Amino acid sequence: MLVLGLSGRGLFGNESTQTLAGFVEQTGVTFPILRNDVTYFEYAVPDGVISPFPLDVIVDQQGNIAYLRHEFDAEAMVDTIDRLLAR
Amino acid sequence: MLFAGLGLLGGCADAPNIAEVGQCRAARPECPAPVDSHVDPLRHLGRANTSEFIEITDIVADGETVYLCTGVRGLSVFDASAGAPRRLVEKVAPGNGLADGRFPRCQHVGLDADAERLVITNRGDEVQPQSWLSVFDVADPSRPRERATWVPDRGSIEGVAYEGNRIFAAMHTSGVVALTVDGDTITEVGRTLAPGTDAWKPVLRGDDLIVAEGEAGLRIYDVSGGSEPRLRATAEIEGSSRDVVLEGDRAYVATSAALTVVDIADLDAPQVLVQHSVTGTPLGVAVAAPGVVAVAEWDELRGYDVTDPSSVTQVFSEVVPTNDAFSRVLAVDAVASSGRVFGGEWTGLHQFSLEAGSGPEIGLNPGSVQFGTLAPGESDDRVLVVRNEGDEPLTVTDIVSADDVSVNETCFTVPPGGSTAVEVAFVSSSPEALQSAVRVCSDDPDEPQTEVTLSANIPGVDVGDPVPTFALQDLQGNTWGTADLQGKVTVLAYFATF
Repeated sequence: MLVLGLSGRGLFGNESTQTLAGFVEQTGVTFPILRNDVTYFEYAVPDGVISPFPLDVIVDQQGNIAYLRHEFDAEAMVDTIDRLLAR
Repeated sequence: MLFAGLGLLGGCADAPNIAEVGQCRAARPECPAPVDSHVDPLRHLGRANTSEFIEITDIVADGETVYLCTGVRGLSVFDASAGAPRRLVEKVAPGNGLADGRFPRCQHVGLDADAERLVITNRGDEVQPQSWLSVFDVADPSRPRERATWVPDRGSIEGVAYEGNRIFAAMHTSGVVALTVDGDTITEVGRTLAPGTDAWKPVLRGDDLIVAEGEAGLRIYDVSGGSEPRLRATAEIEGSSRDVVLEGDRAYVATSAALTVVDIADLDAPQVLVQHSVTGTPLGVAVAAPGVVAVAEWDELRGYDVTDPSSVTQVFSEVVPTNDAFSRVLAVDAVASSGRVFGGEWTGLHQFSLEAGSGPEIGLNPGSVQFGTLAPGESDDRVLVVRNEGDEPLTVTDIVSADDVSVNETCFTVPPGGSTAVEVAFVSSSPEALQSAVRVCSDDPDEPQTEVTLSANIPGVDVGDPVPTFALQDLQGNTWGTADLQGKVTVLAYFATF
């Protein structure tokens, strides 16, 4: 089980290390935060999605996408992770 | 957090083919009969007429005057004497160049006990890198006047408490800071860095300061000395404590996945009475009526009867209605004496009235479904869970959809606290982007119809496809790439700080 945070374009371009360090302090997250992501723009965005972030993607053990949601849904994410780990 | 959404997404997707969904059918003999006498325990009185994206981050209600902190318009003020709150002031922010004129934002608002002054805070982010707090005179709520502003040397101001000439600011790992206000000057008089501090929200009562401190739990400080707060005691709470409100000898704390009740009768030995697990993610708490706590839980606005901590019961669970695709409850406050509850979402402020009613309460999960890529004629199915979070049986009278969608059940009863899984099958009619929906019809008194959006063939990487290749550095300079994912279940959380 691995969790990675990916940061790409903010409002004014890629977000600085300083801004991201402040965000980590505010939120208290402990997983690795990766900078300068560009893969975000490769994902499918259904019509009606008003918010670009968060985008949560769960990748299975074979590297395929098992879950993709533009709104945070803890219950659905836990269900997906449990299902994949049980395989 | 995401007011640039439309700009960022614009042009990413072609307009999909949108299927028409039919209307709910009249009662059918083969289906259970709906009950039409339910009264919703939380009645929606109205929504402020704000259609633009404002991101409500905090709410303080003083009788019929409601102060909002917003992510896009700084401080806003509303008159809630009628059902739908009416905006008195659209946008206020410190005038000395600290706030971004385009997107002035604030995170928290604290009102003085006499309701004549308030303080707003900004924690600093990509839009406004400098954290600040600013005092405004609101003797006339329709004309806030800036009085004084304080900028910390470093660190990030989150929640705030204000009384007389004293301000206490929660500054995450930079601790709890005591300030005094004298005319147009704010001075730091002391700061306490308790072990493991991650201060989110202080509440002042007399000379006692009660602070929700993240992973450290709930802390009690003595602030009678007029200098740095003196730590008296800590109530350790599992998870991260981010908001707190007091009622008598109790503190109600919003923690990671729970509403926590702490007995603070003995300020030197606070006791956790219960950590009640909830469905959503608690972001804010408020006392809606004696013994009833309203919690902004991101997915819904829920209320709990905490009179008997050994048996906390849910009394309401409400999706906040909105015109947008995703309704999310970001902030809450309430006026316990009148039973008025205020909920804030991305675009609007809503007023509710707490009623002595009971009824079913529908909840659908997920709120939208992506089917990935489907060739013409190909079909796939997903599970839609229909929950009943109310205290009376929920009768689903119909589930209607367009021709490209079918469901295995269209009517059933869900007991209180129960759920029913419905299989939803989507048949692709085209290689182009497709959008459809299912409409669930029920005897929920305030949501007789609720919809879930379905989509398929959306251009781009989707469920079932290989993850895009990447190799990126973390903040420590370590490189992580697609190869590191092999054999592991991985969560990729794409985010922005604004």
